Amino acid sequence: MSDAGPLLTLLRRIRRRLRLWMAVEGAVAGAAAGAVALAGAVTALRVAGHAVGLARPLALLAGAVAVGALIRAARRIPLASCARFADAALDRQDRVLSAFCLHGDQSPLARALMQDAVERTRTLAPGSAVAPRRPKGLPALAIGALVLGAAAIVPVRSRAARMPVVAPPASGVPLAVGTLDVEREEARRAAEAAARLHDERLAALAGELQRTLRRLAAGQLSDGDALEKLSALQREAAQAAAEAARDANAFEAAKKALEGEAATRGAGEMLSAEDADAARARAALGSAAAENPTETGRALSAAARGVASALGAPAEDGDKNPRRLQREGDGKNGQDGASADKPRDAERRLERLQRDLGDAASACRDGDPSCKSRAEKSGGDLGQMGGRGASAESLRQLERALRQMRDRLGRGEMRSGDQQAMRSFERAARGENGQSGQQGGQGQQQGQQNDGQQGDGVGTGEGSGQGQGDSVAEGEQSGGGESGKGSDGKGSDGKGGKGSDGKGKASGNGKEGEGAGAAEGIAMLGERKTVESTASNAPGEGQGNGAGGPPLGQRGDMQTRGHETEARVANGAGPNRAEVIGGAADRGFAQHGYARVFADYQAAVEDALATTAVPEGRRYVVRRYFDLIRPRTGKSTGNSAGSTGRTGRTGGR
Amino acid sequence: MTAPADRVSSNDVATAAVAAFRADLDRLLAEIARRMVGQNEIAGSVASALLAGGHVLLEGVPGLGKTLLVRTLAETLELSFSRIQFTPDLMPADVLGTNLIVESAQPGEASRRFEFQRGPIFAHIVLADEINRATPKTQSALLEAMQEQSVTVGKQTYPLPPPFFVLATQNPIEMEGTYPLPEAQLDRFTFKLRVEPPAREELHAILERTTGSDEPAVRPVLGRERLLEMRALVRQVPVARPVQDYAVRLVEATHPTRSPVAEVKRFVRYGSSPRGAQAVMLAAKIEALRDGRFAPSFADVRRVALPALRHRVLLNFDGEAEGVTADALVSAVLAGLPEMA
Repeated sequence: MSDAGPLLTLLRRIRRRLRLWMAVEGAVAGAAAGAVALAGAVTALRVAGHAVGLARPLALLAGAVAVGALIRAARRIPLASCARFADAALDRQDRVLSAFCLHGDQSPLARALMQDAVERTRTLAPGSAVAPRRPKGLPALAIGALVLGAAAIVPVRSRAARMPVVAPPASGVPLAVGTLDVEREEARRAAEAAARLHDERLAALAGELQRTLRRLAAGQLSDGDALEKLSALQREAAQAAAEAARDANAFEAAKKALEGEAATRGAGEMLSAEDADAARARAALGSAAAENPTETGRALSAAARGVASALGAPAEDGDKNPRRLQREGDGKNGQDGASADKPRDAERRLERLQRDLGDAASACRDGDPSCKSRAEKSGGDLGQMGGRGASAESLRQLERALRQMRDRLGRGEMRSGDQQAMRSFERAARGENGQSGQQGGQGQQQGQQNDGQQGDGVGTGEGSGQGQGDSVAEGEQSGGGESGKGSDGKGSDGKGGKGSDGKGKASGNGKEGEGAGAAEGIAMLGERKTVESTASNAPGEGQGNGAGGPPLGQRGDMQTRGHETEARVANGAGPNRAEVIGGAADRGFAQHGYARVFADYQAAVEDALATTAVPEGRRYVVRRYFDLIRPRTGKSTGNSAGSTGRTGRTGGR
Repeated sequence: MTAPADRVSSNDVATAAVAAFRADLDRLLAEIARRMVGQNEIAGSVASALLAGGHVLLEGVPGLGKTLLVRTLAETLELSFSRIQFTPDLMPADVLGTNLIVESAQPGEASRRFEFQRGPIFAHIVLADEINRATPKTQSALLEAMQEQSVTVGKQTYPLPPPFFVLATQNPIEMEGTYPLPEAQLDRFTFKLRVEPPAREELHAILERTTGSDEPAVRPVLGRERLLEMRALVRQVPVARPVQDYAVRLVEATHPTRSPVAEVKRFVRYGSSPRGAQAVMLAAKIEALRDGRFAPSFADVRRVALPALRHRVLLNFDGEAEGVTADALVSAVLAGLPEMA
C-alpha cells in the first residue's frame, strides 16, 4: 500500500458519508415535489367527485422520496471535493487536497506533504468532516405538506353538480294556440284586398306572411329566422306601399285634369268610381277622343303635367321609408339589389305614362287619326295605375302589421312559460320594460351621432337632440291625430317628433290641400322602431329622458393617431462622469451635463496652476487644452472669443 | 522504487529543509524589525520577493522608511548594496556603466584600450530611489537587468551577480516633473507594495529608537549562499492542480474579455500578463514555506494576489474618470471567483 493509502481510504469514507447526506437531501426534495404534485392530483380527483384513498397517495409519496434520494445519491462526487471537506475540518490550509492531488509526485517535498497530510488526518473521523446538517429542502417539504393537507380537505363535488348541463334546443318551439290570431287576420285582410284590387305584389306578400305564420306556429321556424323573414317582408311591403302612394298621387293628378274638361269629365268620373277598371276607363276616354279630340288633347296634356308633377314631387311617407330601409338592409341579403331597382322601375313606368299622355295629347290636338287609339291606351294605363294606387293603404297596413309582429316576437311576447318569463326578466334588467323613454333616448342618441359620431350607448336625458320622425305616427294613434284631425292620419307627415315620447308633443304638418294640421297628442305608445326614422335629416326638438352614454363615446371607438408607450426608468441609472465626458466629445462638447463636469475640472485646474510652479509655456498649453474642450452652446463664435480673452488674461497673470 | 527507509529519510530531510527555511526567514524578519518599526508586512513581502527572485516597487509618501527598509535588508543579508538616486538628468550609463579608455602600464601592450567600468547596478541589492524621476530612457536601462540578470553594453554582455534584487521607490503625490513607469517596466516588478503611515504606537516606537543616543544596529543573519539555497527550495515546492488552476483563473479574470466580474469588464483596459501568474504562484509557495507547509493553499494565493496584480491591471478611460482603483478591481475578482472551478 502506498503512502496515499490511508488518505484515500479516508476520502472514500468521507465520500460515502457525503453520498448518504445527499441521498437524505434528495429524499426530502423528492418528498416536497411529490407532495405538491400529489396535492394537485388529489384536488383534481376530489373536484371530479372521485374518492381518494390513503394507500395510493402514500405509495406515490414513497416513490417520490425514493426517486429523489436515488437521483441525488447517484451524482458523482469527486474525491477532491471530499478532500476539501477534510481540510475544512482541519485548518483550511488545503493540506489534504494538495496531498491528494500530488500523491503521484515522488519529490521529497511532495512525499513530505503526503506524510504530513496522513499524520494530520489520522485522527480525523468522516463524521467530523461531514457533520450532520439540516437538509436544504425542509422548508419546501413543509410547504408541500401544507398544500397536500389543504388538498385533502377540498370538498368532493356532488353527483348532481357533475351532471352535464343540457343546452336548450336552438330551433323554434310551437306557439300556443291563438298567439298569432291577430297576424293571421291581418294576412287574411291583405289577401282579400289583393284579390279585390288585383294587386299581385300585395297577394305575394300576404301569401308569404301566411306561410311564415304557419311555420312559426308549428315550431318549424326559430325566432331568429322568423325575425329575419319578417324584416324582409316588412321592407318589401314598405317599398311597395311607397310605390303605390306615388301611383296614387299621379292618378289623382291625372284624374283631376280629366275632370277639368267637359269632354273628358265622364272619363274622369269613371276613374273615380269604386268599381272602375282599366277597360271602362279605356272605352270612356276613347269615345271622348273620337267626339272631341281638341278638348281631349287639352285634358290629356293637363293629365301629363299632373303625372309629371307627381313624378317630380317627393312621395309621401312611403318615400322616406324605402330609402331608409334600403340602407338598413345593405349587405344583409341578396335581395337588396333587386329591391333597389324597383323604385326606378316605378319611376320609369310613370315617365312612360307621362310620355304616352303627352303623345296622345299631341295627336289629338293635331287631328291625327291615332288620337283615339292613343287616348284609349292612356285610359287603360290610368285605370291600371289607379288600381295600383288603391292598394297603397293595404300595403301600408300590412307593413305596420309586420312591424308590430316583429316587435312582439323580438320582445318574446309570443312565448309562454319559462322562456317568456326569462325574456321579461332580461328586459326588466335592462330597464326596457317601460316603453316610454326608449324613444326619446334613442332620438337623443341619434342626435348625438349626427353631431359628433360619438356615443354608442343609450341616449341621455338632456340636450337638443336631432331625433325626430315617426313618433308622430304613434301620436296619431293615441293622440289627437286620428280622432281629431281625421282618420287618414294627417299627423303621419309630421316631423319633429319629440324625443321624449312620454311627454312629447308632435306637431305635424297636414297633407297638401288639408291645410296645416296640428296633431297634438301624447304619444303614450312610442315604440322603438318608429324612432328609426331619425335617419332622415329633419331636425327634432325636445328632450330625451333615456339613460345617457359617455359624452366622449365608448372607449376605443375614437380613432386617434397617438399610441401609448411605457418608459422604464431605473433609479440612479443616469450617466456617470465618463459617459458624460465621452458623450460630450461625440456631440462636440455641447451637453448640459458636460458643462457641469467641465466646471469642476476647470476649477481644479485653475487651483493647480495658481498653487504650482508651472512654466509659462506649460500654462498656456494647459489652458489652451481646456479652452478647446470647453462646453459649447449654439453661439460658438461668441463663446470662442470670450474664452480666448479669458485665456489671455489668465495667461498674463 | 524508493525503499520505505529511504522515504522516511527523505521526508525528514524535506521537513528539516522547510523548517530551516522558516527559521531563517523568521530570523531575517526579526533582525529587520530591530530597526524598522511597524512595517512587518512590508518587510515580509520584500523578503518574499527576494526569495522569489523578483523585484519590488515600493510606493509611499516620503519619510515612511522605504529607503531605510532596503538598507536594513542589505545589511542583514551580507550582500553588496548600491543606491541610485534617480533624477531627470540621470543617464543609462550612469546606472549600467560605460566603456572608458584606460592607459596600459605594461610595456609592449597597446597603450590605450577600452575597459568597461561597472555601474552601480552591479550589486546584489540595488535601491532605485524615486525611480519615476528619471526619464523613460534611463528607466528602460533597468529592463534587461531586472528580467535577464545581465547588462549589455555595446556588444558585450555582463552577467549580474546572483542574487540580483531591485527595490525601487516612488512617491505617489509628487507627480510634477516625474515620468510614470512604462507598463513593461512595471510588469517586471514582482510586487508593488504600498507603504502606509505608521500607527500611533508605532510612531512612539520610532521616536524612541531614532531620537535617542543609541541607534539600533543590525547584523547579517543570512549569507549569499544560504539565500540561494532558500531560493532553490522555493522552486521545489509542489503545487496542487486546483490551487494552480485558481491562480490561473485569477489572472484570467483580470482581463476584460474573459472576466466574469462586471467591474473588470467595465473599467479594465488590459489585465495581468503571465508574469503576474508567475509572481502569484512563487509568492504563494513562499507563504506556504513561511507557514511550515509543503504546498500552497488557496488562502496563500488570495493573500499575495493584491500586491502581485495591482500594478498589472491597467484601467481604461472609464475607470480613470470614475476614480476606480486597481486594488478595488482585484478585490472584486477575489470576491467573485470560486476557488474550485
